Amino acid sequence: MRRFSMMVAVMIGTAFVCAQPTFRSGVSMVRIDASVMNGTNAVARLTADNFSITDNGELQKVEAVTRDTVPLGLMLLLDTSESLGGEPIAALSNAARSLVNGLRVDDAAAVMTFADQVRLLVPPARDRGPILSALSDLHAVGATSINDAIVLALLHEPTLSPEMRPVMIVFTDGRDTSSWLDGGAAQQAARRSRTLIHVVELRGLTESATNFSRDLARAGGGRVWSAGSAGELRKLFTEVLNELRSRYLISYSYQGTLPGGWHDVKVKLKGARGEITARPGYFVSQ
Amino acid sequence: MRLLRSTLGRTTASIAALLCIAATRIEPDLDVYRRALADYAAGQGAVSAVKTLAGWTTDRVEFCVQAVILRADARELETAAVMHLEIGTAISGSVVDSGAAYFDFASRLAAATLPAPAIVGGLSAERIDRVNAFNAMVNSVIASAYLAVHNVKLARVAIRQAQHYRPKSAAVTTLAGITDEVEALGFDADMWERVSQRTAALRQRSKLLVLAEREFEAALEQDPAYVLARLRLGRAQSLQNNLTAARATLFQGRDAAREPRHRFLAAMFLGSLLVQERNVEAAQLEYERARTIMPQSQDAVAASAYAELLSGNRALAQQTARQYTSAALDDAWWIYKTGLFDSELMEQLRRRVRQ
Repeated sequence: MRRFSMMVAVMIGTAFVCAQPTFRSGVSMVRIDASVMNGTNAVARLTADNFSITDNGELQKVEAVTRDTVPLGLMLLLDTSESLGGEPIAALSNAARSLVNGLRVDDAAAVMTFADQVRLLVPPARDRGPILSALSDLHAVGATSINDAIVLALLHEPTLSPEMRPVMIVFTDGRDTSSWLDGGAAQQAARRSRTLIHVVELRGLTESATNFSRDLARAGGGRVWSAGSAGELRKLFTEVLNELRSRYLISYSYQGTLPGGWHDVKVKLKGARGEITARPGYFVSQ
Repeated sequence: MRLLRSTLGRTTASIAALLCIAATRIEPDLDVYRRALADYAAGQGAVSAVKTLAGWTTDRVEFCVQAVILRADARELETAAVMHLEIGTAISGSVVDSGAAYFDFASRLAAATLPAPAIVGGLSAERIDRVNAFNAMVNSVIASAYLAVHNVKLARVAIRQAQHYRPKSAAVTTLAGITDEVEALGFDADMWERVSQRTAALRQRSKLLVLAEREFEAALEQDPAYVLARLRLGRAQSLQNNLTAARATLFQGRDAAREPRHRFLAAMFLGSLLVQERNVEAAQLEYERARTIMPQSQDAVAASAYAELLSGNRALAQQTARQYTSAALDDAWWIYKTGLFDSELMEQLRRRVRQ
């Protein structure tokens, strides 16, 4: 199945800063975050000529393609509900710390947790100390407010500057039990955000990813990563980071003023083989 | 034989010694406990009682509770029941089931206010009614505290207790309906993969919402002026997409609501209905109203931020979300998150033991 995902940054009427910014009056720059995989391997060395993009059905001219050079603004949104008590919460803490240690100096990270309550433990920072310290002190208690958490977390920009790529990794082992908002609201917030969303699920060996996780990841341009046991989390978090490093940022300029509302975007490969994962579109406020 | 006698002698001596130690340790415990009761009756809050009994093992508290039950002083029993209710509520969301032991003490102390069957006949109907009402109230507050931390199972146990004392109370019937509604929301079809699982989730959700609606209607038959039942009925109708009926019921409920928690719930439920009707701007106003009443409610913050986002005001939505998630919370969130905790009933109990 072909999946699309995309991280889009839009700025209308003012200078737009992106990976390789080009600003012209009356032009809106759109930046797309896409992963190209051939099986389990990332496809490398693609150029602007390898991508074909349509925005609301109109073919766009790809102006720049960059890979692995833009710093990440990472939001770790972690489930700390009581079902994670014992080994899973310890494994989650280790996996998240390992991921943070794998970030580059110019990357930033923030940490939020959710059970009944959603809390911002560490605001976006390059300093790893407070993040590692917070991750060492996770406690599993309470129900699961994942819908509310996703909406609230997506309203926190994890980036420190507009050049950064906003990314959110959501970790959960369960289903929502205590949110006010429903799953549709979480997906709607994902569609209206420019943050790339990966979902890491801790599932039993026989359980597959939930529809909720799949729809959320699809709306956020990322993937669902399923762990059969807590012991797999560290490996999985490393794979997520590797995937983030191998994604392409594709920029194109939208001629004229961007119409408000939903923009349906399709990304295709030309002269290369691979499966593209990108956001299905982006939303412009009316 | 000599060995056996010697062993028995040593054992008896040990037990005697232990009893002496227990007596010297427990006696001050009872004094401390009674002082805590007196302080609570004099108006000290739950924090003071929590501090006094902090670090006590369940056995130590159990001893004091037993002593109060044996003394059978109705006033002391009621005060102790409400104090334990306060402590259980104060800690119920901090650790899993942390309030359970205190709620159990509260329920047992309240039950001990009932005279022995032999002398019940000699009591006035008014006195028996008062005792039954007290027991129903205590167990209703316990149920609402469990619901506030999403513990449906223990909430149902407490509701059964409350129903035992007040089978035809609108408040208790409403609580039973709320429990069905809370449980129904746990069955979200989108969370399931297989069609069979999704169908089962939808069926269960629908069944529980119908049950909840019936309970709210029954509560309104028992007491047409019971505002909470009307508000919850409107919510149950809205959750079943019966929007026309929900709108009428919720507006009636809102107009009759006087208590802050009822006004909060009216605003939340109307906000949700307006989102369903795609009137996001009006929903935003309702959610702001809810936040004004309970600023610490996560439900109100999430609903408000989402409505702001939908109406295109992303900057305001960000501000709402950031202020809440970054704030240091020094209070019991479970009292405010959902509006499920019955703060009015708790207040009535406080006033009763502090008269």
